Amino acid sequence: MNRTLKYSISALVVIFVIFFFNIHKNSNRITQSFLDSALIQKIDKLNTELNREIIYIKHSTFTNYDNLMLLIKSIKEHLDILKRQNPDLYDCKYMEDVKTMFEQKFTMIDVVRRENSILKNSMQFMPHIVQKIYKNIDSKEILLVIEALRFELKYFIQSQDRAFLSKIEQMLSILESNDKNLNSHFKSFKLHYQNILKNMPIQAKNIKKLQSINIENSLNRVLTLIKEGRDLMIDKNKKFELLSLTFVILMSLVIFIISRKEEKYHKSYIASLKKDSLTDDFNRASFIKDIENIKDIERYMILSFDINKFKFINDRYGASKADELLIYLSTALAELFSYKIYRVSSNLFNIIIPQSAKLHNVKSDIKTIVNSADIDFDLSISLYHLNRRDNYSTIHNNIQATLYSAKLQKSNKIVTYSESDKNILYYENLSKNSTIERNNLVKAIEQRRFIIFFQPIYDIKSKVTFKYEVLARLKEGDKILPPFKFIQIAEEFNLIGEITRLIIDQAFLKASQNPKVEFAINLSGKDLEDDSLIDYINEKSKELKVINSNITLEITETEAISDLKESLDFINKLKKSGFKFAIDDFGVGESSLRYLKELPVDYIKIDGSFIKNLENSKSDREFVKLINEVIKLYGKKSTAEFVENQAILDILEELNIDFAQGYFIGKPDSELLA
Amino acid sequence: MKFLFIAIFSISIFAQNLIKPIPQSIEFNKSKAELGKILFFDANLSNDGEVSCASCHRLDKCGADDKAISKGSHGAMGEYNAPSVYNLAFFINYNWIGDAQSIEEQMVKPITSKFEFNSSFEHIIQYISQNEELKKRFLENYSKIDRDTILKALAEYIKSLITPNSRFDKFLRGDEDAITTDEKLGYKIFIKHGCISCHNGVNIGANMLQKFGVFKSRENIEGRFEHTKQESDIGVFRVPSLRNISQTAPYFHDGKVATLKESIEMMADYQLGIELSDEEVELISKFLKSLDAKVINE
Repeated sequence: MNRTLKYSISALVVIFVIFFFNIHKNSNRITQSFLDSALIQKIDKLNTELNREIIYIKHSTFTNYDNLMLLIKSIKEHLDILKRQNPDLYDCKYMEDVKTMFEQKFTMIDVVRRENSILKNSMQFMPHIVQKIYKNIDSKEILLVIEALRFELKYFIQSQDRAFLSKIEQMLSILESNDKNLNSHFKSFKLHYQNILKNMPIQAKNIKKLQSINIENSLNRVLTLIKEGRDLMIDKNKKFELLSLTFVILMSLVIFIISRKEEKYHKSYIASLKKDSLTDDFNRASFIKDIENIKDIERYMILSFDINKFKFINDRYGASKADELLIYLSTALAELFSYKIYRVSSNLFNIIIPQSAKLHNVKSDIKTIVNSADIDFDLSISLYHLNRRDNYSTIHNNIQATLYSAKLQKSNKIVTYSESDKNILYYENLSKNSTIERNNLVKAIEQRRFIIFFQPIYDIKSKVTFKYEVLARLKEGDKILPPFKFIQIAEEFNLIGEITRLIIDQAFLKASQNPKVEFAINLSGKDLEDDSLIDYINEKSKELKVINSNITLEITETEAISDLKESLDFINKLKKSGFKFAIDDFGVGESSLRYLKELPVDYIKIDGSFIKNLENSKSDREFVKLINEVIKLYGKKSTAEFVENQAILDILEELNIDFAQGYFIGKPDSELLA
Repeated sequence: MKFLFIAIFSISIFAQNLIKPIPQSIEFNKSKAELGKILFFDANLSNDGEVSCASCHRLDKCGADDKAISKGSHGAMGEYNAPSVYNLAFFINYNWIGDAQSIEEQMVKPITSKFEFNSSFEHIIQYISQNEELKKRFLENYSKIDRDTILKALAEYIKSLITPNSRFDKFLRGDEDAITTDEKLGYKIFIKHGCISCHNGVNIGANMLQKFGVFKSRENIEGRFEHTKQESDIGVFRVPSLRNISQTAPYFHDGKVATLKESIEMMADYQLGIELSDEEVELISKFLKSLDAKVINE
C-alpha cells in the first residue's frame, strides 16, 4: 500500500516535470518565434528604407550615401543577430534566399553607385559645356546640330531605342573645328555625350535589375513559416496543458484515495500492534508497555492461564478448532475479569489485577469454563505478585517457572509464585544452567580450546591402517571433554558451525602434513543446512593444499534423511570437489535400506550396537551379513565400529566387511597411532 | 537650359544633406581608450620594436604620414600611403581598397603585414603578458588578453579621435559667416562639377567605392581586385575622406601626388572628364581647407 503511494507520487512528479518541461520548452519556443518575427519584420523595414534610398540614387543627381551604407550595415547586423538568436531559422531555405538576394542587392548597389556618379556627372556637365560652345561660335548649323543631338539623346534616354544611334554618330562627326579652344570644347562635349550614350542603358538595366530583387516576398515567406511553427506550438501547448491538468487531477484523485486507504490501514495497523488479531486481546507488546507504565507495581499481581498440551490439541483437533478454543477461553476470561486480557504467546493469557482483587470464586468459575468447552482441555494457572525491581524478563521467567510447577500439580489449581517452591527452584536452575553452559561454550570457541583426536580405521583385507576418524575434544582445565558433553548445547545455541570449522581447520592441517593418510570428519545435522560451510571447506582445502579425496565427511543417517533434498545438495556439491562421504550409525533408523540407494555416499558405518555382541549373537551376525550385502550391492564400502576384540575382527573378516574401528583396533589419541 | 534648370533644382533640394557635420562628441570608454593610446604609441608591438601605430599615423600630421610610403618594421616599404586615423568612427569602408568593415577589422592588416608591423597577435599577447604594468592595465579593462581585446582597446582609442567644429561644419550648422565667399563658391563648384557624387556624407567620402580613372585610366593598379579578384574591381578604390585633406599630403593611395592643387586637377581630369580653370581649382582648394579642424580628444 505504502509502496503504491510512493510510486504514484513519484509518477505524478515525473510526469508533471515532463509536462512542465515540455510546456516550458514550447513556451520558450513561442517566445523565441515572436522575437524571430520581430527581427524579420525589422529587416523588412530596413529593406524598405533601403529601397527608398535606391530611388534617391535613381532620381536625384547627387545623394549622401551615408544613410544608405548605414542601412546596409544595419541589415547585416540584424542578420547576424538572427544567426545567433536562431541558427536553424538562419539556415533555412527561405532565409538562404533572403541572404543571397541581399548579397546581390548590396553588390548591385555598389555597381549602380559607381555608374551613377559617372553618368550623372556627365549629364550635369552637359549644359555647362554647351554653354561654353555657344559662347564661342556663331555657326547656326553647328548650334542646330548640338540642339538636335541633345533632343536625340533625350529620346534615346526615354525610349532606349538604339535606332537613334547611327544618326547620332553622324551628327557627332560634324562637331569639328580648327579653333583649338572650340575643338577642345567639342571634344569634351563628345566625350560626355558618348559616356551618357554608353552608360545610360547599362545603368537603366542595372537599376531595373536592382529593383527586381524582391526580398520582401522571401521575408514574408519566412514570417509565414515562423507563424505556422508558432501556431503549431501554441496548439501543442494547449493540448499539453489540458493533458497535464487532466493527469494531475486524476493522479491527485488516486493519491487521495490511496492515502485515505493508507490512513485506515495505518490506524488498524496501530491497533493491531496493541491487539492480537485472533482473540482481539491485547498482545505481548501491550503487556510489556503496560507493565512498564504501572506506577505502584507492588500493588498488582499477574494471573496467568496456560492451556496444557496445547500442541497436542492442535494436532488432534486441527488448527481451527484450537483457534476456536483460544477465542472461547479469551471470551470467557473477559467475562470473568473486568481487566485487560493479554495473550502473550500462543496459549498463554496474562491478566494484570490489583492485589486487592478477590480471587475466592475464581477456582470454581474456571472449572465451569473448562467444563463447558467443546474440547477437553485443562489449564495451568499461576499467580505472581509483582515486585518493585521486576522487569518483563524476570516477570516472564517467574511466571514460566510457576506454570511449570502448576503443570506438575493438579490441573486448574492456582499456583502462587514462591521462591521456596521446589519445582519452581528446579525450573529456574535448569534455565540458569543451560545459560551458563552456553557462555562457557562461547568462551571455549573464542579461546579455541577445541582439539582433535584420531582413532585408527583398519583395512581388514590389506591389514593396514591408513585412515583415522577425527574426534572433537574440549579442553577444560586439566580435563579433556568428549563430544557428548558439549555437542547438544552447541546445536541448541547454534554454535556447532563454529566448532565444526575449528575441527576442520585442525584436521585439514593434519591432512596436509600427512598426504598419504585419510581422515574422516564428523559433521552435525545443523552443518548440512549451512551453505557457507561448503565454501569454507573448499577454500580451506585449497589454502592448506589438502588432497580432497583423502577426506571423508561423516553424517549420521538420521540427520541425512531429516531433510533429504538439502543433504543431497550438500553432499553433491562437496563430492564435486572430490570429498568422500560416509553414513554414520547406520541401521538404527527406521527405513535405512531405502536411503542406501538415494544417498551418494562412499562408506556406510554400521552402528556399533550391531557389532559389539557379534561373537555372541547369531541374529546380529545374520543382520550384519545382510546389511553388508546390501551395502556392497549399492557399490559402497562398509565399516564396523565398536570392534573390541580379536573374535569380532575375525567374524568381520569372514563377513567381508571392509573396515574396522574400535578399542581393539586403536583408542582415540592426539597422535596418529597405528 | 532644361538640363541646367533640373540640375540647379536638384542641387537646391539635396545639397543641404549631401555633407553632414561631424558630431561634437562621441561616446567611448575613457579607461579603455587610454589603454588603447598606450598600445598605439608602443613600438614593441611591431616585429623590430621600432615602429608603432603612431610612427606612420603621426598625430602631429593630422593622423597621417608626410611620406608617400611609410617605413614598416625593418624598413620594409609597401605600396600604400598611410591615411589619417581621424574620424574613422564615421567611416563605412576601411583601408584603401575598402576590404574592412570596422576599425577593429581594419587594424589586422597593419599589425600582420610584412610591410608594416610584420608582427603577430601571439607576439603582442606575449609582450603585454610579460609587461606587468601593461598587463595590469589590460586586465583592469578586459577579462583576458587576446586578439579580440587588443583590437578592441586600440579601436576604442581611435574612435575617440574626431575633429568636429571645422569652419565648414559650423556653416552647415547654420553659421553663414563661418566660411568666406570664396569657400562658398568653391563648395558650389565642388557640387556642380560632380565631385560630390563620390565625396559625400559626414566624411566627404569613405562611404563608397569608385574606379580610379574613368575618362583617363591609370596603368598598373590592381586596387580592390587584390581583395575580390573580380575584373570589374581592377583599379577600384575606396573614395577617401576629404576631412583635413589640406593637412595630409602627399595624396592618393600611393602618395605620388604632392599637392592639393594637383590632386584636384587630376581628379577633374581622370574622374570627371573636365578641365578646371585655375580659378576653379583655387576655389575648390579653399573650400577643402575650410574642412580642417583640430582633434578634440588629446
